Amino acid sequence: MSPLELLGIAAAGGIGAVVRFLAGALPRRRPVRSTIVVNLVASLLAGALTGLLVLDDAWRAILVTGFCGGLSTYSAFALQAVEQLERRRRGAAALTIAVTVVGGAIAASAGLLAGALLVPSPAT
Amino acid sequence: MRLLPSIAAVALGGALGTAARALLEAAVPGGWALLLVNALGSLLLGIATAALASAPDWLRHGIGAGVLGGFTTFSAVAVASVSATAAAHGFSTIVPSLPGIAIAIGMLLAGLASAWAGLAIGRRLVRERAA
Repeated sequence: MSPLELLGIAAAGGIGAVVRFLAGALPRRRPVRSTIVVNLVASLLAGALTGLLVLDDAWRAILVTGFCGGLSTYSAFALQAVEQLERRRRGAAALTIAVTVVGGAIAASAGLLAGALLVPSPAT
Repeated sequence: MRLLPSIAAVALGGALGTAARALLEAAVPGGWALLLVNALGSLLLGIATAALASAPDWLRHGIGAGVLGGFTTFSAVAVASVSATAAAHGFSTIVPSLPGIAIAIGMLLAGLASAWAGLAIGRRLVRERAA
C-alpha cells in the first residue's frame, strides 16, 4: 500500500463517516435504525465493488476499505444492541441483531451478484 | 451551524480510524484483522460512551462516530462471510456455509462482549473519578 493510497483510503473513510454521522444526526434521532440502514447500504455497495472486476486494486481499496468501511460501523451496532439488552428490550435487541446480520449477508450477496452481472468476467 | 464542529471532528476522526484499520489489515494476516479491529473498536466505544458522557458534543462525536466508527467496519464482515460461503459452494446456492456463519456469529459475539465490557470499564472509570 503506497502512502498516496493510504491517504485516499483515509479521505474516503472520513467522507463515509460523515455520511453515517449525518444519517444518524439529521432525521429525528433514530440512531439504531440509521446504523442498520448505513450498514446494509455499505454492505450492498462493498459487495458490488468487490465483484466489479474492472476496478483496479488501489481504487477498490479506496472505495471498499475506505468509503464502505468508513460508512459502515461495527462498534455502534454492537453498543446499541448491548444498550437495548440493558434496557430489557430483548425483542428490540434481537431484531436489531437479526436484521443487521442476516440483512448484511443478503445485501452483500446481492451486491456481489450485481457487480458480477454488470461486468462479466473476461474469461467467459 | 451547530453540527459543524462535530462534522469536522467526525471527518478527521473517521479518516484516522479508517487509516488505522487499513494499516492493521495490511499487517495482520487472514481475517483476524477484522476481528481485532471490531472487538477493539467496540470495547473502546463502550469505554468512550460511558467516560465521555459529559464531554463536548464535537469530542464525543469525533471519537465515537469518527475514530471508532471509521476504525470498525460492518461491510467487510458481511462481504467476508458471504465470500466464505461462495468459496465453499459457489454462487449457485443461497444456503449459507459453515465458514460464512462462523465469521458472522464469531464477530457478533466478540463485538457484543467487547461493547458490554467497555461500558462496564467506562462506568467504573467515571465512578472512580467522582470518588
